[in-house]
Amino acid sequence: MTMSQAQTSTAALGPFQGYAPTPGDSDELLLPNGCTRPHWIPLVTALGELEPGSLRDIGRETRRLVDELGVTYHVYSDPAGVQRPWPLDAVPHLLDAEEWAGLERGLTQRARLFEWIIQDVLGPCELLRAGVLPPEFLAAHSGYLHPLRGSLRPDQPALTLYAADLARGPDGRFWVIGDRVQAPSGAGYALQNRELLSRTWPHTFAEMGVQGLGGFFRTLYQSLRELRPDVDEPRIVLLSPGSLNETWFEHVLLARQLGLTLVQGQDLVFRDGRIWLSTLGQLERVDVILRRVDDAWCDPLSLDPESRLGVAGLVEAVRQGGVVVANALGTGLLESPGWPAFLPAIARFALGEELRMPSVATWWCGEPASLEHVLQHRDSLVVRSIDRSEGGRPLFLSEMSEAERTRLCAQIRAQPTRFVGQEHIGLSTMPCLNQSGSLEARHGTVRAFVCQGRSGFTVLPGGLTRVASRPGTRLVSNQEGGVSKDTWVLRTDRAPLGPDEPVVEAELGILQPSSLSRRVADNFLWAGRYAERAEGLIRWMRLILRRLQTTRFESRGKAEATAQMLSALTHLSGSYPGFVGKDGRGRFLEDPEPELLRLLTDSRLPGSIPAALNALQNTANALRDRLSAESVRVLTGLREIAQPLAALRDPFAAEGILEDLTVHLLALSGLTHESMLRRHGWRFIDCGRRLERGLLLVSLLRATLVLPLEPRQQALLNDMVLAFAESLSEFRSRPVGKRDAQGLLDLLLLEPENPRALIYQVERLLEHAEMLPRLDPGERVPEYARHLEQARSHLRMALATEWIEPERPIRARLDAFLAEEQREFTAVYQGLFAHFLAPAPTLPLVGRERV
Amino acid sequence: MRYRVTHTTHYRYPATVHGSLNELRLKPRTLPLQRLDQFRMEIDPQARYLSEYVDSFGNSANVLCIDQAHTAWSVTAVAEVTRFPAEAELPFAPPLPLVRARQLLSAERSPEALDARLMSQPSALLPAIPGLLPRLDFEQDPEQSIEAVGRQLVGFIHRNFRYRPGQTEVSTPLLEVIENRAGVCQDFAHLGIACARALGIPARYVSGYMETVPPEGAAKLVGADATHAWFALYDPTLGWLEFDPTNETVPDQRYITLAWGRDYSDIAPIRGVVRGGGESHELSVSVDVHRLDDDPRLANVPTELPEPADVGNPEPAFRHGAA
Repeated sequence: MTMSQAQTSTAALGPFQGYAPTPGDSDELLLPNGCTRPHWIPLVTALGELEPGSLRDIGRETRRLVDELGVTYHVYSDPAGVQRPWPLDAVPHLLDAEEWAGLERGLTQRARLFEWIIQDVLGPCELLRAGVLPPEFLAAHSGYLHPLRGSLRPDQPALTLYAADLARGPDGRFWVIGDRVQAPSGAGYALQNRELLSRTWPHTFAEMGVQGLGGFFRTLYQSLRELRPDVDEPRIVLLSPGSLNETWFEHVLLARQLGLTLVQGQDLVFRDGRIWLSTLGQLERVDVILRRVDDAWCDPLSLDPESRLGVAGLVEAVRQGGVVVANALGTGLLESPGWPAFLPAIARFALGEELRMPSVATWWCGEPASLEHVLQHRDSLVVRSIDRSEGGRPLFLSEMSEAERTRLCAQIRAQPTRFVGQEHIGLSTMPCLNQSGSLEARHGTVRAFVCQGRSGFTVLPGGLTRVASRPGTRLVSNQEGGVSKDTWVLRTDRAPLGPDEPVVEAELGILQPSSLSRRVADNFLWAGRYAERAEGLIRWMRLILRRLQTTRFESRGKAEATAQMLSALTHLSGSYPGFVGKDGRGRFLEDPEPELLRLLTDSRLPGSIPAALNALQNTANALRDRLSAESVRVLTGLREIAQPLAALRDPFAAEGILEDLTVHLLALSGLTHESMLRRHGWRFIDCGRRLERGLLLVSLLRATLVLPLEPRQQALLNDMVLAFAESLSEFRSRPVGKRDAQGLLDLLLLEPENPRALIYQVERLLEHAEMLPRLDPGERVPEYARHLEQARSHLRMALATEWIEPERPIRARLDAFLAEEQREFTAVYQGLFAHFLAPAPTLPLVGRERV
Repeated sequence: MRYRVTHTTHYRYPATVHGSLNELRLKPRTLPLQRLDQFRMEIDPQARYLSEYVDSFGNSANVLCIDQAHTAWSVTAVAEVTRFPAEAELPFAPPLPLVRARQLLSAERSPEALDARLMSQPSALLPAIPGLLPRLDFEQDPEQSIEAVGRQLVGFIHRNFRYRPGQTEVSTPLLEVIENRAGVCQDFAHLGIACARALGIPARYVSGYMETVPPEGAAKLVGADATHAWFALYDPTLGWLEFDPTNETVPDQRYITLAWGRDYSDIAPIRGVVRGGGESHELSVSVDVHRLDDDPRLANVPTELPEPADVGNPEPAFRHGAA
């Protein structure tokens, strides 16, 4: 078969049957004449050789890998969408080596040009003086931040990472349709996509000679280091807005790959003209900040005072040269969609070159002639506000009602400097795998990345391709259900990979010790508490369901044990009034199932099982950079198992789910204890667990043992309490004379060898208190530790206490004792919080003398 | 005319502040008609960090960090300023109609004109208000010069808006001022700027002090003065022209310029971030503009100043700004 035959026929084979590009738009797979583009032929051939249905299997395997690795992103509009599986198409996007070389030159020139521009407009302003750029264009953009004028240093790149969105127009050429300049996202996802696809297509990948991505990230790391030639081992942090951000997963991934400490604004403080990471007990100097926070939010002192995401004093520290921010503060200005109107002239003025890569034809309405052009051609142009922050969505006048159009035109006339008109560029289509396992043509764009170091520019040989959610639509956005693709740039020589370059990009592993900030410590503590809480609630719920099942046909109202165990559930979960209020004792105890169902299904009900699980998931997500791959897998499993809870109609049908949840929670606990280094992070998790376990136990005992029931009923209840505390068999192995309430309390409160006993929790917490840093050297024993000592001495004194008061209907002594322990435990948490987790007053400096 | 301006700001917090970081703009500018003879700041409690830079508008600014726990802090800025009278006559130029002035401006590229053109667009506190001028019933004759527009604005604001202290806060949006037809000097300056920008005239916000003269026979009260604000318009042939809408006048040598910017938010005398401190804070400001010349009514005001407190270890100023 000749090449030309292959070109014409392969596209009609197998999964390509029915593949139909949109007439008028370019297609990535097919040339305008219907022939397959040559660089696709090896993949098309490989696909054609697959068994029917196996492409669908590859798609399924890709989704499974995404789940296994826990690759997620956040959809803002979806309340439950904190962690959505990352949508990745199983079929890569292919780019030809020769075409790519041209793109590389164009991208490099563009990055160089933007670097020149920002240095100029925040510095000497030659563009304004020469009349190449009108000052009104800058002044009208909210990203033109006066406090940053003069803050750049010409010897320091302002743009370490630059990204451009590329689209192939109907003419077959690539156009730049958008620039991401201040904190470009997507490079990390591109790397992740590569890891996933190189596992689903191992052979094809190796045979086709796909260019590797690892080198780019090594260069990126090197470029960040080079921002501080004055520091030997610069401390580099990645500043993230936090775990609710759309691309939080990517922040975690980049921090891990590059060995950066992942921080949020609250972890950093300004002092003496520098920025410091505030960790337990000390301040550690920060030299470079790779930021994922937009300009205006970076410093409430000098920029937007409403921001809670930044660091007060950051601009001052930059001005003093105490810290370098990448990309430099102020670069958000370069994201105005109005720049393309000036870029060709600026390129000639600044570089003496013609712009290599065209951007979308753009008219800035601040110039009278452009304004008239835009208003005249308003039906064929797209109108945008120059500020992305003001919803810079493209406005299609042709799709507006007459009234809307008139209003917009009046607005443009009133504030022409704030609008641009742009030509509309058609995107190309490319093959995407659909549900039924065949390939369909969808519109897409490629985000390309350029890194600038001291020695020059490097283009990522690949990128993040994004395609629309379905054929026909041109809206490409993750927030709108778009799908991503791995982008394979093929090598010129097509040589298979040699052994020196691994197929799977190994982790770069340039790890730095990551310090524990107060925020992270707090998250660890709460991860421990939520895990223990979920475990405890589920355990008691299961005991109740089992009990109710055996008494299903008895008259429940008379079973006092049933009433006690149900009200204990309300006390444990804190979901008052539940079974506790007046109403509860009457109606709910008669028919407990609706309330039990609520506790099993309603994630918005505080104290419910899904609420505890969600809290655990959210906290763990915020700790994502600290979790092992195994823990992530267990948490993903936990989330999947919990999902059907919401749809339950019968509480008794939950048994299987609760069983699975318990197994996963135990696995999580096992991983914590067997795989985590005994550092402070582990100590905080364990503190959280011990505190929560103690609190749950105490409230369960208060709810079940203070009001003694008729002996047979009470024995039933005691067995449940013992089962909850995993102490039933131990209890039964004791002499008959000790198998009463007194014996139970001794075993659950005071038995030092019982890991579920209260004394055991206190002893472990005291051990942690011994090992955790003392933040105030003047204070002999921190307050939280004093409360622990009190809790212990109470317990010790209680050793010989007779809990049973036969002559009294209420065990007041027991209740008072338990209430006291409850207070101490609560005080321990508050003390821990005040000591470690709340913002600290003053901290000693390390690593540097006082300035 | 020589003045000593004493500007004291005192903050009190309901709870302990564990540290605060502030940006101050309390040092008067040096200008062709204004010379700064002496300047010092007294800060209590002592600052751990104090630096100085020149901001993008040419104002002097300080960054100040207090890191010891406190429930109150104060800063007193003492400036001695000599103010020279303006030349009696402006250089002769035929008044330029606004339309011409705007055309001229759009091609003007001197550093001063470029800076002015950067002041022609909406700013943080002064977003564009659609139909502002018709809403105000402010009619303008395109044959008028920019200076005439300024005078017209000053008269218009003075006539139609009541001066009512306490009516507005720093953050009062302009629309509210327009609705209430009342405000303070800051609001009037903002209003003048917004109107001028709507007409395509670059306009800036000027903050400073003004000497107040007590009624005949009464002694001048220390601290009775206040910070003041007015606005300036840019004419491509005449440069910046100042107007005071609060007093319906053109600032003269009784006016001392502290700083200027696009609006108040660019040049607030103090802005800061504290750790702790509770929900709110109490703020008291006192300003005293003291004429150092031979006014007998001022004879009993003490001229000796307390020794300045040690302000820590000021870093050498990092020169900053586009100029």
